[in-house]
Amino acid sequence: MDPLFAPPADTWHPVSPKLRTMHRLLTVVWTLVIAGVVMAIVALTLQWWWLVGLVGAAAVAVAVWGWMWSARNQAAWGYAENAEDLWIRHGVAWRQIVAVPYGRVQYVDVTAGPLERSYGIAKVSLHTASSSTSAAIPGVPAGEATRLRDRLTELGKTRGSGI
Amino acid sequence: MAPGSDQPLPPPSPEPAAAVGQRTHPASALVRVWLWVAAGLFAFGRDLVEGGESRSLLSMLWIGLAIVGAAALLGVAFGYLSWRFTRYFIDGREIRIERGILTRSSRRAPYERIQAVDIAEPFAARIFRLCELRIELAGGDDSRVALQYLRQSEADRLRHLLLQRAYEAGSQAVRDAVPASVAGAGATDALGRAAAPSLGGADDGTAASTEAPITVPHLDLSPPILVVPPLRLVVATVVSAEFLAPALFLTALVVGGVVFPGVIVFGVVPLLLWAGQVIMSRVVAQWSFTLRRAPTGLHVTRGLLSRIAQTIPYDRVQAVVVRQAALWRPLHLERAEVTVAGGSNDSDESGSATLLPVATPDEVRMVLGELFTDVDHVRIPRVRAPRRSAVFAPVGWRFRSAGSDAHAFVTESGWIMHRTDVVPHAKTQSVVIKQGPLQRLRGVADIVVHTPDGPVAAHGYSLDAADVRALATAQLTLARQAREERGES
Repeated sequence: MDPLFAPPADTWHPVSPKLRTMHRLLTVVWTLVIAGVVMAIVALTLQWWWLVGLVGAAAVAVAVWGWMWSARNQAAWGYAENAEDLWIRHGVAWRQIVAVPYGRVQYVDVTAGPLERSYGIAKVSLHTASSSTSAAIPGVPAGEATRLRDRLTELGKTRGSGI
Repeated sequence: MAPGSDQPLPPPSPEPAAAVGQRTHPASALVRVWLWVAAGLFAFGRDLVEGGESRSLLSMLWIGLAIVGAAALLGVAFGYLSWRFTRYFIDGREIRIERGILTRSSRRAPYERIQAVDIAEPFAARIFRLCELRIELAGGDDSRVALQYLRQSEADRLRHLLLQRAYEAGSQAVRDAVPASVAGAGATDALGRAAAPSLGGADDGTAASTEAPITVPHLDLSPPILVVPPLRLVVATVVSAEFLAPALFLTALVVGGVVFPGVIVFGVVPLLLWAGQVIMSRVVAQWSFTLRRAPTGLHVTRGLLSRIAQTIPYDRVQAVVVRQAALWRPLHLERAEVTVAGGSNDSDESGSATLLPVATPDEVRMVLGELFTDVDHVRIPRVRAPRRSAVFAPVGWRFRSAGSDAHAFVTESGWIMHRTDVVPHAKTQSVVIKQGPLQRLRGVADIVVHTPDGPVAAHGYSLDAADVRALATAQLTLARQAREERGES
C-alpha cells in the first residue's frame, strides 16, 4: 500500500459493503431509467435505430463502470480511531486523508436517508470550528454509527477546548 | 486621541445619582441628519428621473429644496427625540444604556464581562467633534454595546472608568493582561504578556495591585508599537495590482478616446469608481494605522475620515496570512490579515481583520511575536516543493513550501501573489492530505491545515509525498501538545 495513505495504526476500519450494494443499485437503476427514456424518445420520434442501439450500449457501459466504481469507492473508504484523533481516508483517483483531533470535534451528525435506512447504514459527519473540514464517513452500519457518534461526542467533551 | 497617558488618573469620582442616568452629548441629535438628507436627495432624484421633464427648472429647484429641507427637519426632530430618550446609567455592577422612543430598549454591560473599551470616531460624528464609545463584551451574541455620541474628554473619562471597574470586578480578560500594561511603555516583551494568561494571571494581577493603589492598573493606551507612515501607504497602494489594473484600463480608455474620437468612453465611470473604491479602502480607511498593546488584544486605530478603533483579541486570533504581491517584493513590503474566531469586532467580512495594511518583514515578525508567543514564521524550517512538481506550477513551484517548528505550522505559495500562512499549533482544527492521479505519478501531495473560516488557508501544494505524511503526523502530535500545554485537553 502507498505509504502516503497507510493507516496511522495497524489497519483502516472498512465501511459496510452495503454501501457498495447501494451505490450499485443507484447507478444501475438511474442509468437504465435515463437511457430507457432517451431510447424511447428516439425510437418514437426519430426512429434512428442505430442511435437507440448506441444509447443502449453507452448505458450498459456506464452501468458496468458504475458497478466497478462502487466496489472501488467502497473499498477506498476507511477510518481509524487513533488515541488522539480520528483519521478518515477516501477516494480512488483523488485520494484524501482527513485527520480530526477529538478535542476539535464540535458536534457529530448521523444522517440516514430512506434507502440508507433500508440497508441499515448511516453517514457520520464530524464538524469542527472550520467549515472547510469535510470529515464524513458514509456507509457505517447503524449500530456502529451510533457508537461512533457517542464516543466522538464523549471524547470531544473530555478533550474539548475552546476555539 | 491619546489621552495623556502619563497624567495620574483622577480618583474614582462619585457618580451622579444612578437612578437618573446621564445623557449623551446634545449634538448627537445632529449626527445622523445626513442620512435623512441623503434619503431626501434620493427621493428627489427619483422624482426627477420619473416625471421631471414637464416642470420648469425653477419649480424643480423649489421642490428639491422643499424635499431636502423637510427631510433635514425630520432628521433633526427624530435625532432630538432619540437623544432625549437615550440615557446611560453607571452603577456598582454595570453600565446600562436605555434608548428608544416607542420601543424602549436597555442594554447592559456588566463590568466583569468587559473585554475592551474602544473609542471610535465615525466621520459624521467627527464633524461635531464627537466620538462613540464601544464596549466589547466576552461571550454571547450581543457582544458589543455602543454609546453614541460623547465629547472626546467625556469618552476618555468613561473609558478609564469602565476599564478600571472591569479590573476591580475581576474581568478575567482585563485582569490577566494588566501586568503587561503596568510594565507598560513598550518594556514588556511578548513573553510577559502571553505568559500572564497561561500561568496564573490572577497572581500577577494581585501583585500589580499591591505594588500600587487600586487606581494604578494602568489601563491607558500604551504608546504605539507600530505606526504605518501615510507615504508608505500611498506608495504601496499605487504599485498594487488592485490600483494599477483600473488605472491602466483608464489610461488605455482615455488614450483610445483621444486617438479615435468616435469611440464612446463608456467604461470611465465604473473604472473611476473601482479606483476610488481601492483608494478608499486601502489608503483612506488605513490612514495613520496605529497598533498598540491593549489589555485584551492589539488595539488598532486607523482612518482619515472615520477614525476606527478596534481590538484584535489575543485569545481569538486563530491564524495569520502574510501576503506579498510581486510588485511589493522589491519594496520589501508585506500585508498581514488575521482570522478571528467568533468575532463580532469590526471585521471587513466575518472572521477576518487587517492586522497590518503595509509593513516591512521585520515589522510583520514583530507583530506576529506580539500575537503568538515564540512564533517567528521566518525561522520555521520548511520543506520545499521538489523540482518534479514543476508540471503543476512551472514558475510557482519554487515558491511552494511547508514546515513546522515547536510553535507553529507554516505554508508558502504563490508567485505573483505570494502568501505565507501561519497557524499556531494550538489552533489546528484538522489536517488533510490530498493527492490527485497526476500528483501520484509525480510522487507529490498536498497538505492542508484547517483553521476557522477566515482569510487564512494553510495549504501546502505539491510537496514530496513522504514529507507530507511526516508533516501531517507531526502536526497532529504538535497540535495535541500545544493544546495540552494550554491546559485545554
